[in-house]
Amino acid sequence: MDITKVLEVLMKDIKLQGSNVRSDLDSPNSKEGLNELAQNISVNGLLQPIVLRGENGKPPYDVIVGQRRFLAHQVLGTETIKATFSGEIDNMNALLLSLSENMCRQEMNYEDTQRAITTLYTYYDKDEKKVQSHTGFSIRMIRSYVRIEEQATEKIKDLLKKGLSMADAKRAIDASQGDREKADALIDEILKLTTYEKKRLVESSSKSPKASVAELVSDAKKPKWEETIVINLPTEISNAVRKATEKLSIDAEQLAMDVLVSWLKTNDFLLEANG
Amino acid sequence: MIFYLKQMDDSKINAATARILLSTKRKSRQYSIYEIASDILFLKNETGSINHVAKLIGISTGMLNQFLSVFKLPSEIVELIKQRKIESVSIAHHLAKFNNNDAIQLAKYVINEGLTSQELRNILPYRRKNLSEPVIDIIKRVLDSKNIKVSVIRFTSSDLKINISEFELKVTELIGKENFLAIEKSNTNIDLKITPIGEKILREIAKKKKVSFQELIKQIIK
Repeated sequence: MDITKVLEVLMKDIKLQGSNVRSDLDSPNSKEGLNELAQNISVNGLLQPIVLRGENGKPPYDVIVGQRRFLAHQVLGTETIKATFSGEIDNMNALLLSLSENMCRQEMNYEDTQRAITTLYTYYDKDEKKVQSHTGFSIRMIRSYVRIEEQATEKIKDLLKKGLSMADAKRAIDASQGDREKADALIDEILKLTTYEKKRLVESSSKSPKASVAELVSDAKKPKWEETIVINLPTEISNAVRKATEKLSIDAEQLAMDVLVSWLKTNDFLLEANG
Repeated sequence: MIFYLKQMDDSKINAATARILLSTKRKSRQYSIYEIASDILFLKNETGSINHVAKLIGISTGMLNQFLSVFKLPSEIVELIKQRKIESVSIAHHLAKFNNNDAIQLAKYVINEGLTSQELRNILPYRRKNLSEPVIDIIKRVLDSKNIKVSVIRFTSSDLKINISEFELKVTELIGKENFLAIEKSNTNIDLKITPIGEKILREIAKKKKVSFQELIKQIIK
């Protein structure tokens, strides 16, 4: 099957059967985008054909890549659409093809991405690198999705589908220290906090794992002092530093760093290789 | 790539590319970010996609898109950018994520209060969860929740013979009450805790008096 051969395919022969990863096409944002796409196609035509699953002449065909373009054609009421055929491929390859296309385009919602990543993660026997090569996501991001899938409570998963950020979900998981009831209580509180307070909440929870939700929230709401110490040296030391910086033609900060490194090495607090 | 370039007006492409390359680093930027964004948009239209522009000039699509977010901003902010009152592409990019009214208020804070792109980034999620509150209250609430940066000026044992209350009075006269935080005494040290602005004021006074920072502190103690 030549996937590069572009054909005019009858719209009525195409039926959406779920090979595409995208499921957020009913959201207001998607509908607005769809109308924009339809308008663009009516002006410029379809610049890139869609990819259909199956073989030409054996309808109905499913859309693997280009679901939004197909729906935009429906909006326009066209009879045909430019398409290529993938041939008969299995569900996993259809998912990969659809995923690789959609990852590069309009951002997919949490649920679709989560499903795609965890499906691939299981399929590739937890090989993060293979998932990365197919999705383009960083290893860190893949781990986040997998971790949330494994550790988040049902309440948090439900909130994620409704727009909760992954960062907040992870904060609730981290701060709960494995206590799922606490995680559910924390997520309600986290949503009311500023980003700075959320960070302090997670820090407090690691220092006081047994603290209650109320204690953690109360602590998080108190701004901390971040101190930078400026040392006012005695005169004789100050004079000696000035002499040294002049003679060595280095600034005082560099001298202080050199002295500190030297002292740390001499007293075995800093290994030679790290110095 | 060659296919696209063949169809373009080379002189215009080269000029736009040169302007962009000359101005991507903020410190040495010759053109406003509005002018750079206009050049990027021109190249995008000429080459057909932002990916082609990225390959042409060797700048990531992410950064190019940050520049293009200038065109999503209300005209009031675009004007401030043209006047080069806002020079940070990151700030423009983050402002574009707010609604127009919020963005205008925030732009004023950027110019008058030095609001940073990181602070804008942290205001956004809180704003989205509290849409009914005035944006000024949102800004205050988020900024008030930040950790407080403190400059600690430490005196070693040889400087301990000082009158604390007199010292506090002299310091507050110089830097203002709002920048004085505390004086803490231990067995070996005295720590003067002031805001970074307070430290900056003291350093400026030292510069004007042509003495070192340490010398100025000693003069205050005496």
